Amino acid sequence: MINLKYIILASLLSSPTFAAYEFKVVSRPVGTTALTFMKNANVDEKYYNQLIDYAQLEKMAPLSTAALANVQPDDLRSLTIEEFNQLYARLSAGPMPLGDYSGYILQKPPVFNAIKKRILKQASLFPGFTSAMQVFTSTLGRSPEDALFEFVWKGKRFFPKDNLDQIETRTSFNLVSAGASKFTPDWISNKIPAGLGKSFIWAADKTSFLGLPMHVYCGISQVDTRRESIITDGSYGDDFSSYLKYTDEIVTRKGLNITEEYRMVRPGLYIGKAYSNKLFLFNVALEISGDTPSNQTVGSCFDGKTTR
Amino acid sequence: MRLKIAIGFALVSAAAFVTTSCLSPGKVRTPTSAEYSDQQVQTLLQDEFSKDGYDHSLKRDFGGGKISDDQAVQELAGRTIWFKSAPNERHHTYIFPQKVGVGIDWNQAMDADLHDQRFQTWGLINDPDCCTPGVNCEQKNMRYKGRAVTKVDTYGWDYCRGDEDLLASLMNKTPYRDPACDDPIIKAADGLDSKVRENRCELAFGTSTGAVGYRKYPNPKFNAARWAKVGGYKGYSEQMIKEGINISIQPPFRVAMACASCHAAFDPLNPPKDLNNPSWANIKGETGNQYLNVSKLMANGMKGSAIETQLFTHVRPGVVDTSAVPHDFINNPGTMNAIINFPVRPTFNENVVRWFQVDSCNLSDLINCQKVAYKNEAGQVAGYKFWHREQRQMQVPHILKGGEDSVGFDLAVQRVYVNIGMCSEQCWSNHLTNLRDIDSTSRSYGESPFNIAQCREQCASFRANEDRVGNIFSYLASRRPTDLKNGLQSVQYQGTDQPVVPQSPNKALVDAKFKEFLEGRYGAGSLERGRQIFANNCAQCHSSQNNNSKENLSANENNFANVNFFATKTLDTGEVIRADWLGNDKSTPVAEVGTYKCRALHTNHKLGQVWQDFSSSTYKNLPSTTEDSFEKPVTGGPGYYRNISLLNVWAHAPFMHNNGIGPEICGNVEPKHQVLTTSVEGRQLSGTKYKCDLNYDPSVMGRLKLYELSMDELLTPENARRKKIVRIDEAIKFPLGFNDMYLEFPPGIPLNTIANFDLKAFLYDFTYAASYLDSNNQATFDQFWAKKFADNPAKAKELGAAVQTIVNYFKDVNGVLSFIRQGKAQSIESLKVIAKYYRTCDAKDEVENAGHNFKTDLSAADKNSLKAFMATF
Repeated sequence: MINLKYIILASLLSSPTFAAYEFKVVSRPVGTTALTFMKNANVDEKYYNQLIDYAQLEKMAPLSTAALANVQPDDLRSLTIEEFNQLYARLSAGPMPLGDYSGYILQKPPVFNAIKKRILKQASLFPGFTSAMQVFTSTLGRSPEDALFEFVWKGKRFFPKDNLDQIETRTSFNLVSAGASKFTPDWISNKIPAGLGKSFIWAADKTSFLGLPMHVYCGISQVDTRRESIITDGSYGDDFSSYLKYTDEIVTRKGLNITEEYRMVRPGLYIGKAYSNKLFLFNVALEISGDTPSNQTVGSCFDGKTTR
Repeated sequence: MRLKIAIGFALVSAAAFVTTSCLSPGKVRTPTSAEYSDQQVQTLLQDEFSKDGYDHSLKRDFGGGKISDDQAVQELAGRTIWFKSAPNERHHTYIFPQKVGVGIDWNQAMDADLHDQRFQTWGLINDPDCCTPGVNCEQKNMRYKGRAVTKVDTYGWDYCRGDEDLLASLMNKTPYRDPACDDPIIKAADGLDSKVRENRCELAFGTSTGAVGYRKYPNPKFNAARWAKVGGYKGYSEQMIKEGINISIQPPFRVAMACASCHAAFDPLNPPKDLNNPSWANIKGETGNQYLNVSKLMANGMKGSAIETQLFTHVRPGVVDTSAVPHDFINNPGTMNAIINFPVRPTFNENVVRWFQVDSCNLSDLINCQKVAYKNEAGQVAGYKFWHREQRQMQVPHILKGGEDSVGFDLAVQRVYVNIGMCSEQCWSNHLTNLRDIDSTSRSYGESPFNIAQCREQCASFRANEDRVGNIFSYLASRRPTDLKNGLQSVQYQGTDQPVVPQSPNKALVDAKFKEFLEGRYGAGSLERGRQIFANNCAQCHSSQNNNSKENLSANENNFANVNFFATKTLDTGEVIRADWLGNDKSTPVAEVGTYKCRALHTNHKLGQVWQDFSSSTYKNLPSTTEDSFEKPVTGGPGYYRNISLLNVWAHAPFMHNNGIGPEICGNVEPKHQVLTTSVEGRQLSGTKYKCDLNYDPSVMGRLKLYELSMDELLTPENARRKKIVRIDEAIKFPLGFNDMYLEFPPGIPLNTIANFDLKAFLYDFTYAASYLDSNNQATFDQFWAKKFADNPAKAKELGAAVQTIVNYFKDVNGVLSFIRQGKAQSIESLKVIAKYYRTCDAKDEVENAGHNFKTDLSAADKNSLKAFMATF
């Protein structure tokens, strides 16, 4: 651990006129632990080139496994987007998730409200979407926007597969945790327009239905390319045999083209980002619902080292 | 271990590249290589030099004694790296598609069925080390598992040397041992001294794709079942272009580019009779491929309406915008020029801040001292090197068009490797602009400086290449011009169109027969008259012999009148070469040259930009020569073109950094496969009707004809030249985040009105200023724009009003939609105003073949004389 309070961004010898930013290491509590971040000591970080480079950050303020051992999803809500990014950039992908995970929407960009409206507008182009949302929202007492974003990212189920590039994840719509336990399969089938609700795949206990299939693979992060992230990619969800056009198309390339990327904070907890057409929507976290399974696939993602 | 020996070419340390004067003879030595004995080295060299059709120019004998074995080994190692090393396959086939969201359809070029269209369509050179299954593999004695190879075995591509191992790795999912690990020449070169070097496997040779310089590697993520389901390369490609790339399906091969991918070309003196089936004797690594359509190749996996397709693909053959991926919002493609006669290339004493290898440094100085571990093939630390960052005065060449890459040859080579994707994940991609990122607080909103120290520490390929850049330098320093004289058989000088094998390159540059040929073609006495014209008018920029700048001369003074442009220089090796570089490489203000200015405004080497550490402080402190659209001086280095070398100008037409002056050339293929280049006055571009002036003709006489026609245009007053303007050929639909919303630009508008728009600067100003309007603070809004212009309130008002119009549309979603869909006149006018002020390059009328308006008033006879004299270059 390099214990420096201040460092100066490199490569500034050549010009006395170029702004030489100083970055300071700051430590602050996140839940029951303390995490370090680096802040620009000269200016309020309002522009992209005023931020610390991730490689510099990692060199000057590495994160320890111990510091992350007790982090809880709700602890992360207090982070700014920049702090979240700095945390994310110092993580590795970790093993492929397996099983059921609860989802959390965390930080949203300042332009999120505008984005939300536009997404809703596009989503409304899908058959039955608007009427379906009305049914849900009238029951839940929430706006359609909230229904779409809070409800959809409530959880995921990762299915085990033999081939790593064949891993499938489905959004798990947990009705109980959404406060909508009255939405039983029969109720859904009766209320939701034909072609939509009837096609849902239900979990065994009938409290969750599973939709929106996405590919899961190791891939390139939009935030930090130095190491791979776990990507969930809805663009070609129609590859899967269980794909249902009316319900699932909305996350594909023909719809919102949703992708997400994740890295592991600690076993059982992943954080990441959701995008629509590569436009950042919000930060997310996935926490495993039960015990971490022992058969997770470890080490399949590129860890930043060239190996030939 | 072999003893460390004192040959100039072996110097790998940075300081060795400060001057080309370090070129020195191969001294006699007593090598004791751990890898090879002397006898083995000699046998190795004999084997290399006896290969059928090998580049025999590397086996040199200068009369005074041939080059030493050591030097030969280093040059051969450099050549091998130049043609084969391409540690960027993850970038081109994996990172780029995921980061940008669009793929490269390599199969359009590498499909074996298209072997005989590869040159005419893409300008690619078919690799002599490959065969086409079912066509000529048996004749070439290239078999697969002891039997005839089929296209099923090769996934439809050509079958190349080393593919049996590669395909086995792919099919069996076994680790791939890269051929670089065991390459005998690289091993021999590594054994020349006892220096610590990074694992040579990291050079990453892979095998050929079928096209020279384009390499392939087995994709560890390949899944045969899914590949079959999508329909192999054909189905995969079709889906990619139609619906976008499916990242979850990984093709069998990852494809990468070596230096030769752009720089290797047909030998101007010895082109192949069959353009589709050259031998190595027909290929030179240093010439620069003036027929290559690499930009189109890189964007062929996108829809025509994608902004990247339109922005990046409309460039002439032989030209590429190397700041397209590290995007600078300037459309500024440049030629792949010849790399010849480096020992006489001018260097400049400049102030440089960079990393130097040192014996040790103070590790507590985290900013300026670095200790790096170098690993062997087993992954064990083989040794450490210290690097120290400091300021020095150095003799440096000006490598790029605007004088950039001016911190030493070694870093220039390393930068190019990174620019084509080496270490992309570890140290490059994080510093690039994401075109679609609209959040100015996001790192990918704009560029940030590439960190050499970080890359050296964290990317093994960076170290592996850096450790062997001395070999590359040895190879490039050995490259010589291809003089026209040597392409013309003495008995056939008059009027022949038959290319012939070159004669000895060491005879006098102009002999009687050659003179007879030239004066028969350009007029009696034309050579001497041409020399006078050149000395009086051109040599000030295009000679390296007299270092007096014209600023120091009186109006009537000419200190080139008596210069012998044919003077020779004897190198320490005994080799005699032309002393004149025929260009002084000094930086000239772009307005003075007058050629299309956008390349001169390249910003990537400025402070704060991605390549800031690859330009000297001298460059960064050059005086401003031009203003931007906000009437502020352009500072920090841009604004210049270096005075390029005219060596072998007869073979490298069309002219200028953008190949803009001269005939438009294209392959002899269907129009849909041609590179759409420009609209030319009176002959509007159309996707189906466009035909260029000349089809590719790399024969000696074909190149000479292209040179003559280009000279004709160059010596025509710029106002009398036909005007070439690049236009987009398909409507650009720029998605604004969501599928149903596009900003649409109609076909036919000049490309550069879009490509030279500083989108990110505008977005930032727009959102910043709009926030004032949101809070009903009109006065602050007006002040914001007033500050943009120092002394021009009228312009401030014009721009502010235009932005306000657009802001009003953007207040809600419906407004945005009506703005985009209806294109109301008011909004169009406002956009034009905005476009005017956020131009990154405001070239006069967008005419790409303007400028260099020198001596266009010569008589017809004098113009021919100049042609005659310059044909001897």
